[in-house]
Amino acid sequence: MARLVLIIDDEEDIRQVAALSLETVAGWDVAVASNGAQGIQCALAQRPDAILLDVMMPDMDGPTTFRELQRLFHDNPIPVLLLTAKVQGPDQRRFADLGVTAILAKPFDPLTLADQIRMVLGWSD
Amino acid sequence: MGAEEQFKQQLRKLWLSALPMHLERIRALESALNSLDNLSAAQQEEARSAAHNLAGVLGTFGLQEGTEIARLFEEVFSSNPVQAPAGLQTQLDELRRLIETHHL
Repeated sequence: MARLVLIIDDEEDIRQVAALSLETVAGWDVAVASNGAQGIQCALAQRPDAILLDVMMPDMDGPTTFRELQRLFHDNPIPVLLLTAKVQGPDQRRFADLGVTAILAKPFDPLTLADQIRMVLGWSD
Repeated sequence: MGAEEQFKQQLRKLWLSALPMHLERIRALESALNSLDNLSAAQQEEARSAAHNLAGVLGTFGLQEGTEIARLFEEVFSSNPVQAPAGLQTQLDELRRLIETHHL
């Protein structure tokens, strides 16, 4: 069965490019959500293998969404990869302190996004 | 057609479908830039958000230089009060040119 990756990002074009990349380049299944609340509902319903989570979103931002995911999936956590333009200095430390699996730089290269995810999650497929 | 070329073709379609949205974001930046002396909070937030979106997406379509310029505008419209360095109109013109002439 193909892996399922959930993309949570408020920007439609980012969701589309990331989904195209993961479906076409890696052959994974992709679910998308345009905000944190919708992403959490989607995670509960579909239990993805990994979540790609944007940091800056209105209403419920990435860190808040992540903490809620941590609470809900406390016994069996889903790897969460934060997607952010702020990958240096204090921001990176702040995000790393949250306990996310990895921090990926935005903008990303759609041709290598799947490889980045494979590498940090140790996936061989 | 190879898988990579197929992928690039789909990416090109996404770029073309998103192009009007990118240009709309440019217009939001231009409008804010033209109103710097009397910028409302809503207009500033719209410009900041437009710049943030452009910064996040342009590099993904291979326009890294566009991302860098958009980051500059994000920084400008995140400052309060707005600190606008000289030459922003030139930067904005360049950003528009990059977007309008970009071919994947």
